[in-house]
Amino acid sequence: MPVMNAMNAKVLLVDDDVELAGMLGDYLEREGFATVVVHNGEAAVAAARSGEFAIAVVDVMMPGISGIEVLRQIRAAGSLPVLMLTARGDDVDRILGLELGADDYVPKPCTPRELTARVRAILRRAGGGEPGTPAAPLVIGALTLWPEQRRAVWAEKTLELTSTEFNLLEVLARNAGRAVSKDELSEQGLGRAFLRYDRSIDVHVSSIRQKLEPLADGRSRIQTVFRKGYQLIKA
Amino acid sequence: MGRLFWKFFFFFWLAQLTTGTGIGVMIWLESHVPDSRLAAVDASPPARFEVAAAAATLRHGGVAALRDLLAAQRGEHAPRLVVIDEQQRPLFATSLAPLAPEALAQARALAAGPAGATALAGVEQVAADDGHTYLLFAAPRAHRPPPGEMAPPGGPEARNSSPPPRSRSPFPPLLPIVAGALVSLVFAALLARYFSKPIRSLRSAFAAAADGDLAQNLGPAMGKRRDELADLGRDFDRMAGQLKILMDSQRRLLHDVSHELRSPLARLQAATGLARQQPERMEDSLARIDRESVRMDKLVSELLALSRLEAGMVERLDDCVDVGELLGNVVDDARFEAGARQCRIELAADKDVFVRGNAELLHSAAENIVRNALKHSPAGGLVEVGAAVVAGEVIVRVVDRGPGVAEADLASIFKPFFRSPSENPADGHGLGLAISQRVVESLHGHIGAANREGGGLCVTISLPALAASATA
Repeated sequence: MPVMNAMNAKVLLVDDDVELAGMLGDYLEREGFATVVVHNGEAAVAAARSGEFAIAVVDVMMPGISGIEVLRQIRAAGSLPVLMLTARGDDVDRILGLELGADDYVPKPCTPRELTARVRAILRRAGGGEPGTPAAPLVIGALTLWPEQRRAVWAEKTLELTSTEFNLLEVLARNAGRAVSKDELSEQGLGRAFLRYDRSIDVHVSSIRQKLEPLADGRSRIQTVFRKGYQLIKA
Repeated sequence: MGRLFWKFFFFFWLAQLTTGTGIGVMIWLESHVPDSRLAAVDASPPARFEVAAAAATLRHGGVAALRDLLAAQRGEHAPRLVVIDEQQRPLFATSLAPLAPEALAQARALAAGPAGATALAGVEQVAADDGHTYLLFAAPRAHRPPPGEMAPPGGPEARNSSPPPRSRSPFPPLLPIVAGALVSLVFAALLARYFSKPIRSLRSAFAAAADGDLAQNLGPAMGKRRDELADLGRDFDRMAGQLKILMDSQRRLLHDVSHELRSPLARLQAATGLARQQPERMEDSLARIDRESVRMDKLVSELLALSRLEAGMVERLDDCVDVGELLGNVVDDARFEAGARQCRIELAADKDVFVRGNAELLHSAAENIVRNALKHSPAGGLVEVGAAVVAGEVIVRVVDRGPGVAEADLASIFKPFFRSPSENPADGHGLGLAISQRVVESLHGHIGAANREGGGLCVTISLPALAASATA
């Protein structure tokens, strides 16, 4: 995936509400993101596959081919970061989307400022470290991470991680052997503050767990530490 | 088991028990009350008559005549005539079986009584021509076979003592009564259960319904019954079904409403965000904010109208409305909108066509349909509006030349918040047609949509026409 500076990243905005999408696109452009707006799922998937976008913002409440389906298809084709626009108060779509590989969500209605902030957060993480950081990988047991390349390998096998999953794993790896609080995970992994009843972190960690192999005794590599957060086992 | 069960049970059991006991007692009494009666002199009218006849024959015709009389009287139904002399020798060999001594004693006693009484008692004493005084009386019949036929298997005892089988049975009459009581118990229980079981099912179904579970399976639970209780079960199912439909549609409406409010709110927030970000385009943003506010206002008004119609809270349903005039108003208003896209509207309405209803609501209903037609018309398209009276009904038609509606959706377009997939959500809310339908139906009319041949949609309203004379 091309490394992009947040200031020239191209955003794909998918929403069936023409007026709203127009206004948001307008706003994003003014914030420095080249924005392309599409109004249905098929066009969205096609555009996403083109590879010219740094992030896709997808409304899950579209009629016809739903946002969730679009997310599924985008994920099947690659690891383009996806930000979901969900219905406020509707947990189901949100959790489902996160499980399917969305990076984060924003409940609608939202202010354009919120939306932009989320987009930035994801792009910042996805963009990799500042140029000049050493190329030394992180090695924790069989797990090896190359942060600036956004690549992770488990015992010779490349891990398929979404942008956010990579961020979280990186945070856990850098703090391997100690518990990382959800606040910290949220700030550094998602780029935003941790909301009290937000289950996004839990869903992402669960997803990462499934992609890592368990320890010899069957436990997961990532342990839940009660009231403290998560910890990556060093062994 | 339930109180009803016990009430039924005890009532019927008691009834059966009483009846059974009563009958049993009566029979028992009958069987016990004398033996003495059996052995007694038969004083019934036929017997008395026979005795009198025999006595007269003996008196006037002598023994020979009596013999002839008796010979002529063979038959099962003739009383058993006993004729004996002073030494208790029977006159005829017909008196085959030995007399019960009680009978004899009673006959003698009766013979010794006053003259009138003896005849009434069925006893006669006659001095015959052969010098003997004979005593005549009838012994009661009971299972005596006619002479000449084969003797009963029991022999003489059977002929003589022939009581009904129960009186001297070794078991007390208690056994049949107890048996009867037990059987009646069983039947009473079965009957009570037959009634109280379906009633219990009903109760639990009602309890479940009160808890929100409107499953409809009482009908099958009633089994193969075909009485009023089974009907009750089916009625309950029907009622539960209706309630479920209503509740589901309310739930859906509430869900749809909250969903619908989100879109204008989202646009409002985007507009205010833009206003801050690009102050030079403030006017633009403010205009957008205005637009969204108006839209939300319209949504809320339409929702209120819809809910009022559904709740039946509508007044003035009996205005007399001139349909032609009403449509004229609607079309005039709509021409302004139509002009923006060069669409044309044509009105063809008969004069003096009246219906009864709320004028404002009817105006709304018609307006929604016409606006809908315009919205879907291509630029420069034609929308035709017509009204006519056909067989006592007012038929209003609105025809457009737009894309029409998929056959499968023709009924759904009148549902709240329905929008065909191609429509832009910002245009209206999908409530207009739902409101029209509610209005028309509350006036006892009907509304429907069909695709026009050659493309486009035709919406038809039919309402009961008001006779011109009634409009005075």
